Amino acid sequence: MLRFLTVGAVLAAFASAAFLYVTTLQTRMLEADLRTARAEQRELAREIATLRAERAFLARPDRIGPLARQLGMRPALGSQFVPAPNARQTAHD
Amino acid sequence: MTELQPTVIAARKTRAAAARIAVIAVALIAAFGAVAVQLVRLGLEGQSRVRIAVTAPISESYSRPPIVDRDGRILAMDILLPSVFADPARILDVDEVREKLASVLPPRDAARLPSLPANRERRFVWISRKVSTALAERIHNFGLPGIGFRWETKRAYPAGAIAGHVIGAVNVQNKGIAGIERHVDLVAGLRMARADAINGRRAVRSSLSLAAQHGLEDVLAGAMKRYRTEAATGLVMDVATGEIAAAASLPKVDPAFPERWVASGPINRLTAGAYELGSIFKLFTVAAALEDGIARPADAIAARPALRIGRHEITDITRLPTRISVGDIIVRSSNVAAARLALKFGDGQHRAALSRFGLLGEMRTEAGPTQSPRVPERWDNLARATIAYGHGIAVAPVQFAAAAAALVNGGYRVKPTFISGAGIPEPVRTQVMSTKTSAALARMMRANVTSPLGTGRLANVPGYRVGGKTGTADQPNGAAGYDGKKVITSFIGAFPMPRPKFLVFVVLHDPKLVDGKRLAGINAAPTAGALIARVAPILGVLPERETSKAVATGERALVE
Repeated sequence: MLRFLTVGAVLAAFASAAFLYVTTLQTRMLEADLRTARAEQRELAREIATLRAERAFLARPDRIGPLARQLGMRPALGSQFVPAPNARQTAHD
Repeated sequence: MTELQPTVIAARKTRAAAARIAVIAVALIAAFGAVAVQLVRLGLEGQSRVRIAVTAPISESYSRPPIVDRDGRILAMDILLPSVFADPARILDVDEVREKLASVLPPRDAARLPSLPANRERRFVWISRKVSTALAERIHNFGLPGIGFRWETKRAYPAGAIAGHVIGAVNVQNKGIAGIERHVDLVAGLRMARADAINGRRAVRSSLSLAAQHGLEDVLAGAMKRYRTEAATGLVMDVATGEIAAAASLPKVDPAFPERWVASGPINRLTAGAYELGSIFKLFTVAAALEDGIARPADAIAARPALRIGRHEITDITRLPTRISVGDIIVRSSNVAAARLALKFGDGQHRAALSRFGLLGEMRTEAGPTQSPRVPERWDNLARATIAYGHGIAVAPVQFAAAAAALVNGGYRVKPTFISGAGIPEPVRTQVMSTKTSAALARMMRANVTSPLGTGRLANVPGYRVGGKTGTADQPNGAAGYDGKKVITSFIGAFPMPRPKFLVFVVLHDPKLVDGKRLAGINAAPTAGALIARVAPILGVLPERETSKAVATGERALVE
């Protein structure tokens, strides 16, 4: 009986060691994936911030204004706004 | 063969069993010991990734929330840029490093390169901070040992120099040093920035409208050119909440380059300067008189002859009727009648009224402290008479505008603010004058623009029911008197009357003569009219429909 218990304990020890090894390996792989994903996330956040800044820079009024004037456009006047019920009629005029 | 005794055999078996048990016990102890060691190692490994890469301290950098306008358009935000550093101990060939870096770095940073060898004992030296990614890539491609990169937070102002004075600036550590940027540090707090991560902080929503702000700056720039002024200031404010939709002080400044203006550049004349503003002060003289029961709008008051107080004579620039109504003090802008009205106040009454309107106290906005008002030491008859038409008292334009909002909003004091939703809530507003007085002032201001004799005629914008008042004030000459050739002209107005939504204020500093004149009626008033035509649709105020054709004609004349 003692022999079976002893052999069982040894096998359990090996099984635990193997399980621990596999778990450790998987954890390390997941950690590596997580680090990569976080780095990508930071990189994307950096790029998004830069792109947002660039878009706002390109759309800044100081730049758009002169370009619009070159195309013959002018600032919108109040008279160019009409109440919705009159919009259809104005469009047909 | 002698047979072993059973006791000997039993003893041998017992010894063999004890040996096997000992071996197995040792093996188990070793196995569990290994497991325990592995567990401890794994437990510690997660915290063992910190690497000390440098020995010299790296300067701190802070993350800041973005600042957006009332429509969510970006005014300021953080971006990450690479900074170049050197580890002098790892540099193999200093001359090569200096030569290659000098060929690509900005001159200011290249000039510091000769100090590299002297710093060999240090392990960290900044070479160039917050460079473009393209430049960092060029430096990286040199493959120089001992040259490395760190991400650092940089404040970007994508809208450029627009609203520069109001937005303010940050220093190299990304700490606010002026304007709303500084205010953000005080109320939202600073956070240490991660070296390689952009922050996800909630944006601060300003009350400014980028489109209206551009319209204001454009109109003021046109006025500066047309009237050859030294500077121009203006704002557009919600009369009910005090939220400022646009505020500009030209010459403008660029928040991205604070070193060019924070210490010695153009000041924000809206808040940092206190000026004698001239006849627009008559609004408060009349308001105080009506409110304190000293006069009624239709009461007559002498506009001629000139008023003499001691050695000083107070006159008007145009010949007015002998007697005019209190309302006509606003419409025809009579210094003499305004001064005579002020002399009717009892001791301390005039000063108390101006104080109640918010013209004499300290004021602070998110853009920084406002210049304190300058008032006479002795509030005698002469002071009272001159203050009645805006001389002898100097206030910052933003403070004047905030006080003037009460003249047209039913009499409620407002707190000027550049942050959306930060105005005084309606239930707790303080009423500083009666609704009746406020309505009377609104009518007078409207008459000043619509009457053929009004000084603010050129501010009229068909369809927007503009009301307002002009002011022309001589500028002090630095000694005890005034420079006869330099004036500050202004127009304070509101639209659409009689229950306006927005207040506009335009101040032109030292406009030059046009057709032999430099009065506010011919420079500040039309500038305000052009401003209203430009920004009213942006702010959602549309002209009255029945006058749409006239509106179109009038607006084009103003804008073009």
